Amino acid sequence: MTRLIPILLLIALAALPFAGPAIPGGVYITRLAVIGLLYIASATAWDLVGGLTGQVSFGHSAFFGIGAYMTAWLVGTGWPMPLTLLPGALLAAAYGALWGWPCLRLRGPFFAIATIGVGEATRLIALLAEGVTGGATGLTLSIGGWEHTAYYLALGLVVVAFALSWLVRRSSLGLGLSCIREDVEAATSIGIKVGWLQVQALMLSAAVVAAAGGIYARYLYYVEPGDVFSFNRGIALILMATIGGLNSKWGPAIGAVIFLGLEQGLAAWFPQGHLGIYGLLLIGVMLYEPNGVVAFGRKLRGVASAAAR
Amino acid sequence: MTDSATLASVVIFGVLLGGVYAAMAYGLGLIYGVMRIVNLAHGAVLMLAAYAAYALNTRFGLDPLVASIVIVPISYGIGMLLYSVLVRRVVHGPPMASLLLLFGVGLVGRNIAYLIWTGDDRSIALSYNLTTVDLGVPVPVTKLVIFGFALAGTAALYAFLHWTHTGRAMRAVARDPVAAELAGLSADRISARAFGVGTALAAFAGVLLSMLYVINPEFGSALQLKTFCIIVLGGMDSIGGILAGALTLGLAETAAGVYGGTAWQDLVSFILLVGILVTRPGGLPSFFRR
Amino acid sequence: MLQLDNVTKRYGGLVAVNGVSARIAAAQTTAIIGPNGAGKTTLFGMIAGAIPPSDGRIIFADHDITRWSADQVCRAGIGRTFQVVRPFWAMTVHDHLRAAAAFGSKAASRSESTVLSDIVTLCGLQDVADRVALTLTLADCRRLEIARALATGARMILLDETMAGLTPEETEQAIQLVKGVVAAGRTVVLIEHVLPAVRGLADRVIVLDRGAVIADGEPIEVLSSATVKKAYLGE
Repeated sequence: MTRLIPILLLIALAALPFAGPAIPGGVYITRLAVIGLLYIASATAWDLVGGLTGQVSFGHSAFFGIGAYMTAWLVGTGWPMPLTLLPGALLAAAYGALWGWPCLRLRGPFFAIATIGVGEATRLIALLAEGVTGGATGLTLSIGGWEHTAYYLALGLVVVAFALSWLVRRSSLGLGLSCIREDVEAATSIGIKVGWLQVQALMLSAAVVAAAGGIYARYLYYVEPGDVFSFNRGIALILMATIGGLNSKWGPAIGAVIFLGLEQGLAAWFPQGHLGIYGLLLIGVMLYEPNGVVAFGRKLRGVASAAAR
Repeated sequence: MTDSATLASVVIFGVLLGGVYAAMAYGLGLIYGVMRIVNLAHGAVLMLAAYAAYALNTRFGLDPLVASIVIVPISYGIGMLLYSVLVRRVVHGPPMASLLLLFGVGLVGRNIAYLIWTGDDRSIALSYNLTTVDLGVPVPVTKLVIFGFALAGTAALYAFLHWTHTGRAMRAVARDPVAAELAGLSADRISARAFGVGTALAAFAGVLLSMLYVINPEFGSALQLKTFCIIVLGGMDSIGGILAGALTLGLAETAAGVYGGTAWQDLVSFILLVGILVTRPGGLPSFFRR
Repeated sequence: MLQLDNVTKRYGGLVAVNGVSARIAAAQTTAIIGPNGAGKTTLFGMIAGAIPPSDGRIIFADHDITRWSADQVCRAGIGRTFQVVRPFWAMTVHDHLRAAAAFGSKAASRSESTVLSDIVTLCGLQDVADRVALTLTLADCRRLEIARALATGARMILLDETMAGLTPEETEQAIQLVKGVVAAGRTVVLIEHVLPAVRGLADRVIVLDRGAVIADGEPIEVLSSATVKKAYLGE
């Protein structure tokens, strides 16, 4: 039964754009769902590095921005939209390898600090390279096409992200990354190439987040460094994954939905107030349930079944 | 301007900036040294202290330097409180727990600033702001005064760490927590005070910075990164190391600003930060060690 | 099989290991003993590739592994345990062995489940194979580390104080385990403070004091020599 839930959910999501106009608020929900799906895919991909490998990255905004701009440029030169995602993903993976190779030797807080530097430097460079990125004014995408392209690409990306996460976790790559998370020195003592494995994780994660960026550009018809390279994009991924549950199958996705809900709910009556709520959630998670909402839910279920007995 | 005059102004303004940067970095270094925690709420403390100085200035006409007499002790209390309510519970956990917890605290801090002061830029108008002194190049009096206070803060921190019981205890815990505990020092109590002092130092720097820059809720983020850069440059070994790191960054930024333009000025700290982290992969030596 | 030529490690002015030379033959069990701070663990670290030597050469199976990284050394066929246990705390015993088999020595008949289950049986971990390391006793963790090193397919195993902190009963089990490892055809080098265990296991004893070799030979001979007694036993 529980194995059917993801499939049913996927069918329901695939039908949403067609059902949208028929249900009240459906069109709005469909538009919102694009963002939600991109969040889910990105947070799941971020968790390969942040959760599975245990290296918290603040710099994934760089990948999102690279993907968004790659799509914006290539669409401008006449590429069909879905094909533009691939070069973006590849370029982001290469960029990840470029800074990941040296930075992933750092552990814990020092890796995190380095990624803050990388993310911010990338944003600044994008802002400065006006000829390429349009600077602070950004670029506008002038393409038409089917109105639900972004939606279905986002849904497809979610499937890709889950499949990737599942495959990595059951491969020897995932096993090796778990060893690295637990103890780097012990991991090298059993022959694990610590640097290369971590770079692989970062590259895979970068590729998915870049594709999300590309779909986002198509969705908004507009890219600007202050948005797509924004530091807050990287932070959002950390919040989703940690609040939902690090290194778990569903945690990042659930965290992404919670994040989207808060973002939408709070934006209306408490503008600028969402930061503090995320902060409080993060504090609560770190103090009471470092494994996130998923672990909390599991505990609740345990208590419920114990009470029923 | 001639080349030598340009160079002179780079050196003068670089050193003046470096002094303030040093004051900004001590708090982070002290907290890391004593409890091996990277305080991601550091930027929020800088920012909130700057706002406090702004508020006291607009409401009561207090000079920020006078206001610091109020702000610094209160920040000490807030730091102690943060430690005993939150940080204590994750201090022995995995490093990620304290990092993310304090990041959460920083987000709450930023939000408080948005709620009270909105996202608009604020600045403090000082009567002596426009006065300059001729040191070969005209130097604003404000910058000299701030530099003087930053140096005074450095001297006070040195005296505290070397000549008071609590300060010496902090150095002992930083060097070897187990031995310090065996010698009868409570690492927990020392950590609480170190967190308080670290927060107070950050607040003091925030007050100084409020006199130099436009204040907004995002004001702390960029400065926090610069703080990391200084700590990484200086190696967290000592006050001297941090001072050296801060002067290096101050000079590099000023030079980049003069010769390359403001855009480069912002990039310098990131490039230095990532470059040094990467070329010194063994991690960072601790504050006060050796 | 393993050849150490003048292996030296200096930390600033401090010499931790001072010109150690030795040849260790295959299928032999060698014990390295010496007082605390004699440089035993540093020497192990250098053989395992975790610590770069300041001077000297380390040759393993005709390869100069002096500058190799720890993961390369492992893949070349040297497995190790740690003085303070370092299992992958959140992972199950079985996953430890799967990972070691997947990434370890290429020469090993890798990840064959019969090989892994033999190792589990040899190390007496059958009852805890599906438990995460966090829930194991110290003795279990020590056995887990030996199992992990074996699962890499290592031909030579470095055991760093495998018996420290164990009860007499657990120590006896550990001795039997090491005998089993030797019987399985692996070369064992061990650092040990438990002298009865050294007598029972070692074919050869090397004594380190202040970084240098002060005795090398048959256990009975070495353990009764006057210099060793003076340096090590304080007699």
